[in-house]
Amino acid sequence: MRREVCDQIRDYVDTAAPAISLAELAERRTVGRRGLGRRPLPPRRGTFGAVTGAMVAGGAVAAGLTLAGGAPARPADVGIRLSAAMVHQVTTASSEALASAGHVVVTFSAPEPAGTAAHVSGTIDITFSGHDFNSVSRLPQPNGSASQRKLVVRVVNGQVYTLGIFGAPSRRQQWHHFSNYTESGRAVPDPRRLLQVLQPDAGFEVVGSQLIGGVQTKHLRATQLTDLPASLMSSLTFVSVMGPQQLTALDVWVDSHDVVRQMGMTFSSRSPQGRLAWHQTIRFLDIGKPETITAPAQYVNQGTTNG
Amino acid sequence: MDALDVEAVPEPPAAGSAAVTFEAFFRDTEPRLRRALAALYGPEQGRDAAAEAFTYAWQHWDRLSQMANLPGYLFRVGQTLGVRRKRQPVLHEAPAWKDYEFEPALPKALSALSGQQRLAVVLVHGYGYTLREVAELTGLRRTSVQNHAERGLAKLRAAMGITGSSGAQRGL
Repeated sequence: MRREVCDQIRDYVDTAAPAISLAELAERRTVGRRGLGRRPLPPRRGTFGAVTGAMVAGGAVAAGLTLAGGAPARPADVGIRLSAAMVHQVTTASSEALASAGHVVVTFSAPEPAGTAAHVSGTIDITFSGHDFNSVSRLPQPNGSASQRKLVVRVVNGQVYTLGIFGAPSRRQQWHHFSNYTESGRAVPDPRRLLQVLQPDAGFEVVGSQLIGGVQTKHLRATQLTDLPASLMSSLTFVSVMGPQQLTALDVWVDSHDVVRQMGMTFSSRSPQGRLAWHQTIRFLDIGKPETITAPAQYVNQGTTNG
Repeated sequence: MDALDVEAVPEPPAAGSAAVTFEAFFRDTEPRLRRALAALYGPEQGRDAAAEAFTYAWQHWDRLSQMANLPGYLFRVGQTLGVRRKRQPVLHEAPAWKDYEFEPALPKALSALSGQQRLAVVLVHGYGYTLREVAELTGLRRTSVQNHAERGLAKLRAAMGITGSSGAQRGL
């Protein structure tokens, strides 16, 4: 046996059924329910316009819409391989829909930082509006206790703020402004960069249909991940793992407007302890919904309190 | 895509029962309910049923927050949803990704157990929940949970070809 059965059960259940977030529930509340089933979201005006524009741009693009329609995948659809035009349509529609604002929840199960075979799981909740971001990460405590620790990072107009307790334990929690932190793009990863993984060479095939957050989606799976550019890797994972990484599985769920609703990615890397694997699920919520992300009214800037 | 490395901020403690918020309740109950329903109906259907049950609780929080055993109630709500959505015969199967760290035979072996055995094995042996916690959630008697956990574990071990007593001493 590779590992104790109890450990394997935990790994299996928590990886295959990752934690549910409040944001996901909020999405379901918005969608509403019809009996015990759920109805799809009404068309979003912004996205519809984007898709319509893409349709005008080229006839081949319309083929993507036909394939990725909102109805459950017919048996005839399953196994269909997406053409380059279809993949391009998904990328275009998703980029347009997410261009202004959105909200993603990343759930991950990853090896412990020490590189052991043990896994930890957590969530990263990112709201974005243009180039402003608010990220709330819920991560396991380093000491292994059941409670979680929370990291809050906000980027407004390129300025980075974090909510935390710095210095002595007796100091209160407050916002801190890192005026010298010039790489704001690294403070909160832009979830829209994940769309780069939608490469025609990945050989996406329709494998079925699924309700995601109450929305009927087509489930696509990449079949040729070895053809993805290696330069993409650093843009994909939300988990820091030492050493070279490889994307070993990629699933994408797209709605009737060809907008990505969810991604599932599995990575692997080699460590002195052997081969490590981890998985992340990214759910796209509140697509195009206007968000206002503002700088904290009060914050500590290089030892002085502002505001 | 490295997040800025800042010092961790501990989560505030859950509010007292008189003023418990849905968020506090959700944080406390989500892992148990999700795992229980995932064990019963498979990860996809079970997780979806748990999310629906929590959504229902959130929508009716004023009324439901007064219930003595709300996790148990939501478990029954989830059961109703899970049963309607269950895709037989496959409950658990090896995931699509390849580099997982558990035995490939585990999902199929779990599927071969009865629902109550699967529930008890996952919660008691997989996650270490007490018999009392599982009984309160599921409405089963503690002795029933114990019996299901023991019998289910024996079947699981047999299906996965586990022999010897090294794991049995830990209840494995």
